[in-house]
Amino acid sequence: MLSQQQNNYTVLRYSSLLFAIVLTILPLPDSLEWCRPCWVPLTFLYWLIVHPHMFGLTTIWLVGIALDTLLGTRLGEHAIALLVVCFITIKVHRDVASMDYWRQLLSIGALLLLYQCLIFAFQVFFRQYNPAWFFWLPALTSMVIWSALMVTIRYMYTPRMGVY
Amino acid sequence: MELFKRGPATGTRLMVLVVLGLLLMAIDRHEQHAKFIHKALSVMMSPIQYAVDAPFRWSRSFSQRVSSQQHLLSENTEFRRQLLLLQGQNQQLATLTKENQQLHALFKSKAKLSDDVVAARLLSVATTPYMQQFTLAKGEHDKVFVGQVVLDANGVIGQVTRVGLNTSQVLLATDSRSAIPVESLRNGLRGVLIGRGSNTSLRLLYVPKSAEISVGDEFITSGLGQRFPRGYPVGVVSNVSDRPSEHFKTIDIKPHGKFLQNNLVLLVVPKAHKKMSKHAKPTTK
Repeated sequence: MLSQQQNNYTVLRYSSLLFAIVLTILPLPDSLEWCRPCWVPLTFLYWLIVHPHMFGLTTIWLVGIALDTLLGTRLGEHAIALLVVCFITIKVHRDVASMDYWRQLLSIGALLLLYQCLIFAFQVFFRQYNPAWFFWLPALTSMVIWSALMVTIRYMYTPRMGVY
Repeated sequence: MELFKRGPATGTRLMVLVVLGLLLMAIDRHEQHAKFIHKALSVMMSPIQYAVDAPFRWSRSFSQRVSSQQHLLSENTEFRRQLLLLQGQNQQLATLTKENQQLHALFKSKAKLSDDVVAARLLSVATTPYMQQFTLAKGEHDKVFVGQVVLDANGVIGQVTRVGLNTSQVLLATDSRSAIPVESLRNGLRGVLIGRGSNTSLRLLYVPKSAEISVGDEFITSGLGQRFPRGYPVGVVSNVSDRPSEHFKTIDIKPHGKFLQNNLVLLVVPKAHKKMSKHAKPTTK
């Protein structure tokens, strides 16, 4: 059921995922640690908004488990958070993709905030939470990255490209 | 690789995968069941970790190679001096150990066997900023086990929580999940040391109000619970406060270890390891 364009994107989407994972574990100086954008959910959102069939739920789950292994969190935390956020994205992708600049930016911000909320919820549940305000910074910095990526989404989404 | 056939993402699939995730989370708590999963996952993930670490390692060795000869010579002299001092101190150690064993024999109690230490390199990969952990470049291949104590030159810095084939995760003592049983060097007062996040002092729990403790008291690992070997320096008391509303005293301990500043750490290999519980779990809350 995959269209020809999606087949052509296979290398690109998996390498973009790998790149996002590498960026997630790249060591940063201490002051910047909290500002790291949520690269992996950002990548998923980026692809799913225009091509909701790009990644299956199982792939998303597996990437979440991979993230848990790399980041040392309990297995399943990032998997479930990614699943929920990507599922919502798939359901509302058409609305979000056709939104104007600010609305889209805010929607993405909200989705990533939800992602962080879920992670935070797990942390609180296992009594490991860190109640600092800068825990939520990644959602903000991700929005900044998104505003740079938005141009390409517009380009991919226009009907004359034959995507939708 | 998909569990489900091609088709739209439905709520059912979501539910199945979420439940699977929760199941994994529940299994993750019990190290003996999760060991295989952790190993399998680490085998797949360690190439990425080593790949991310590689450029940093190369830049470090490169900067070492282009150090001026002057710098290397002075470093060399300093190392020789430190080595001589340590060897001198070590000469006394043999005598003291022997005397210790003889005293224990007098009281008919079993003397503690001394432990070996093994050096391990840190991988330059980041984990989440709200948890204090790091990754070692050693794993099951090098006989690293869960619960193993990790030291740096100054004292205890943490314990191993997850072991893969050639990587392992270390939980630092400053992480909020870490709990180390300690005792005071001065009067044997016992308590549990928990972490409160990076750059803050550790907190000693369960110290009764009547206990005699003062600023400057040294604390070492107490070995209670058979998970952490006894006798390793952890930190020194920096603050004692006695609030009437609390049941216990509030005690802050400044750790000796300089967390995350070095690239090499030491792993303790107890000589009595074979006798230790096979189902070692890290000491956590």
